[in-house]
Amino acid sequence: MSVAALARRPAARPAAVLAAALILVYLIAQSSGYNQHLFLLCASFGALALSLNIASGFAGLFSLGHGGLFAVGAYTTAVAAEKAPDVSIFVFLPAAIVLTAAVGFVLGVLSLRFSSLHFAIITLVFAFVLTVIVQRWSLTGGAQGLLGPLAPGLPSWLSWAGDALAWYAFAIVAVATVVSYWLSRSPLHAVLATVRDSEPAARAAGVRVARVKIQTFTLSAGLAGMAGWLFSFSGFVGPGQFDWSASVNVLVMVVLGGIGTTIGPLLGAAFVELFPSVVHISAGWQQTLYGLLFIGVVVAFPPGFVGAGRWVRELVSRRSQPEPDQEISKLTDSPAPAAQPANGHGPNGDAAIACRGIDFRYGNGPRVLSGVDITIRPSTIHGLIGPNGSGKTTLVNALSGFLNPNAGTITISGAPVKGVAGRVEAGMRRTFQAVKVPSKLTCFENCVVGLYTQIPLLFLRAPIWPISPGHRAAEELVEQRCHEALEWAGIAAWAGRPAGSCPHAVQQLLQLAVAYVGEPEILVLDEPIAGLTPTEISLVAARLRALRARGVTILVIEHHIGFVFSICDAVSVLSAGELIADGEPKQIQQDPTVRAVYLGA
Amino acid sequence: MTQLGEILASGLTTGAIYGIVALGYAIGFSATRVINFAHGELLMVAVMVTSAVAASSAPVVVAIAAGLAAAVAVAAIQYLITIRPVTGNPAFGFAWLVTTLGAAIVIESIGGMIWGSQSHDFPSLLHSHNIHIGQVVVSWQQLLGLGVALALGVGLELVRRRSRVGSVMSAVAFDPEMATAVGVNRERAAFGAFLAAGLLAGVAGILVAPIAFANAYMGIGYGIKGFIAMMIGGLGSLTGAIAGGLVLGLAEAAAATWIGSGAVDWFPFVVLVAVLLVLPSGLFRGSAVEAPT
Repeated sequence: MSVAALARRPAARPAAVLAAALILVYLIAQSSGYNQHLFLLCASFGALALSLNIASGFAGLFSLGHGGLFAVGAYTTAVAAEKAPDVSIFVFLPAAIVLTAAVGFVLGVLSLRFSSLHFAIITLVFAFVLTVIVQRWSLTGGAQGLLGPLAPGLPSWLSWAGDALAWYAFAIVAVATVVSYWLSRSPLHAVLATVRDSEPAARAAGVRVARVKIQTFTLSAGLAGMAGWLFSFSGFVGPGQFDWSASVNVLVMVVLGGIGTTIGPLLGAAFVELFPSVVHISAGWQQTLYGLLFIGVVVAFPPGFVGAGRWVRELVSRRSQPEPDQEISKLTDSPAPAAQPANGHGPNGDAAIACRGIDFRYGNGPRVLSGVDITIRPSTIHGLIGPNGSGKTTLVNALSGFLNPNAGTITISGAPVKGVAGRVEAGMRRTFQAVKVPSKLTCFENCVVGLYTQIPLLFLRAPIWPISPGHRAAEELVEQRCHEALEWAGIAAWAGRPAGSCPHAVQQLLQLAVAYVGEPEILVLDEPIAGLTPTEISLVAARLRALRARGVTILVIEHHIGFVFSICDAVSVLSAGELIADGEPKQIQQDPTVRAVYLGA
Repeated sequence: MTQLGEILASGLTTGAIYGIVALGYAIGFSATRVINFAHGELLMVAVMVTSAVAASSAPVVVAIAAGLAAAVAVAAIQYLITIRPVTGNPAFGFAWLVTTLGAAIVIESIGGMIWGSQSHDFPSLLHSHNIHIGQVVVSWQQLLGLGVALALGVGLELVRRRSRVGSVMSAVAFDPEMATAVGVNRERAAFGAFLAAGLLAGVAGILVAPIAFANAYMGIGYGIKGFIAMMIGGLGSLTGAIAGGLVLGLAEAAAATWIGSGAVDWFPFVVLVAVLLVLPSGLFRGSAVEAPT
């Protein structure tokens, strides 16, 4: 069983789809030049919409510059064909892809360090600037544009297949479709969705978010360049075709068809391109109707055509999401998975985590932490308690690399670490106090991101996932470990449910499962049992003790003092940003300063 | 010297219009975190309605009032249909991009069907006396634009800092959830901000049309220039919007004089890209760009 099967997405039948597509293309290749031209437009914009969907739908990067990237691909081809008429047009395809990808890479580097709004604006400005450049540059033919290259015919032994252009169009759109489909079936899909919906969760799993975004946008740009190569065969390449409204049109195609799906952008592109030839009304009315249509879709029915199809199908079959047949409280009785061998991180003298003299303040505000020293011994459960606002979460954020302290050092197993990713490499995983799990992913898919660091070269392999080396082993790893983690957290029955529709407690336990799935050596938990029932709490306590027995070091922030004193080997108490006590639970319970802080005496 | 004077005169007066357009964007953005891409079309509506009413030999004041009212009314409808339903939708945070661009297309197409693609007459607001400052000639019309822009910039900044409406708006812009928690009616604040933005678009249109032209397709051009001005000044900053407009106007005038008239089309983008690369949050540190979303 693959990741895909668990995602409960309807299984497509690739062979049947391919056969139907081939017959359709064959018919188009035999038909009139007008039909072929329409098909060429549908195919180029379909590929372009798919490329945008990879950025916007999968990874949440709303580019308003895809018209510009499309132009880079089309102009590269047209200019190259004009300057080097003897060179095969197919040589320019990789050139168009690489050049456009490079442009996308630069845009990504410039803007993706900032917010997603900044990214949208930078890409929009890019589209503006590109139009201005091609309008004024003699190389690109100025305002008149350039004549596009002619598509070379098929060799004579293939003459029965009809005109070549339809087949080239098919080949390009097929490549874009397959890349998008494969990517959506690879573990990268869940990783990108986590980046999109819950960036902190992705970072905590070791995903270098900025890098992944830049990679995604570069891939998307390369595909847009490929679409542009195809578009140059439409006869003419000019600035008017690529102004900002082209970029918007592509976004509309994606949204109209169904964002985040593979078939949706294709349907949306076909609809937008065929609309003028099917509906014969004045240009003004056509534009008005078109504008109203996409306001309507976004406001009234955001899932688009694909969503509408699903809705109808569910209505017909009257199939609703089956309720998990077991309550969480019953699940807590499920036996713990067989203990695995310890992670080899035994007590070796070095502290698991040691921080010395941690100072932190937000901007120029008051100090939130001052001179905090904490040593967490290996293979222990260490509690961190303190009144609200005492700096517990800030300290955990500093330990896990989400904040840079103003002063002080943090070492893990005796070695200095850099950033969140460095800590993840050192075996640290963490959970967050405010649960924000990617709500559209199933619980199972939520766990996938926890394995990110264990699937090497995931980004390079994802677009060719089913033919990439080792994909089967990776799928088995995902399959086995994610189920095990959900079982461990007592929520296996919820595996196929979108996390957003699960009760709060399940989401809370899901965070634990995501942290556990990566086999951490150090686990940092920020209020893991908030909102759980007593049975669920005893499950968590049992699981944490079992982890400790296997050599895992656990740091837990918790307000539930009883829980802390019952499971912790050592407890540190923060008050107003300073460490006021540190020691065994018994000592802490009797410590006068702690009593004073808690009882206000 | 004369050349420099001319650049200053023409740059500041054109820039003032861009600034008022940018101010409209900024006010709408502060209240809703939405950049209304149909903002330029509201300007067009005000200009075309004023022109049409004036053509029926109504007094100029009535025509202008009708034009401004039309811009505000369209802004209200646009807010209710394309912005209110999609703000605060966590699943699709950028829905507003699509809906406001859709609104721009709809308004422009309808305008095009009503008024055609030809340019129309626009009543002049002030008698066309020119004043001479040294050898530089400036019309009263141009000075009016500059005066209004500066007054609006300073006035709105004062309102924002000193008045209750201003503090409500700042609260909504800074932390919408907190503002709601302390009893601010966020929707009403947003609606009010959009009406004000519509009015500002109308004012900019009325000020520029006597100098430029009245055409159903004029919205996009001013919309883009205003957008650039806002981005130069800093997304969401009010004083930044006016300043960004003036910087943009001066850059255009300088480019037209020293590089060539064609440079007006591309030089603004050079300025914008330079600003975005060096100061990603604009000259006036707009609040929004670096905030996590």
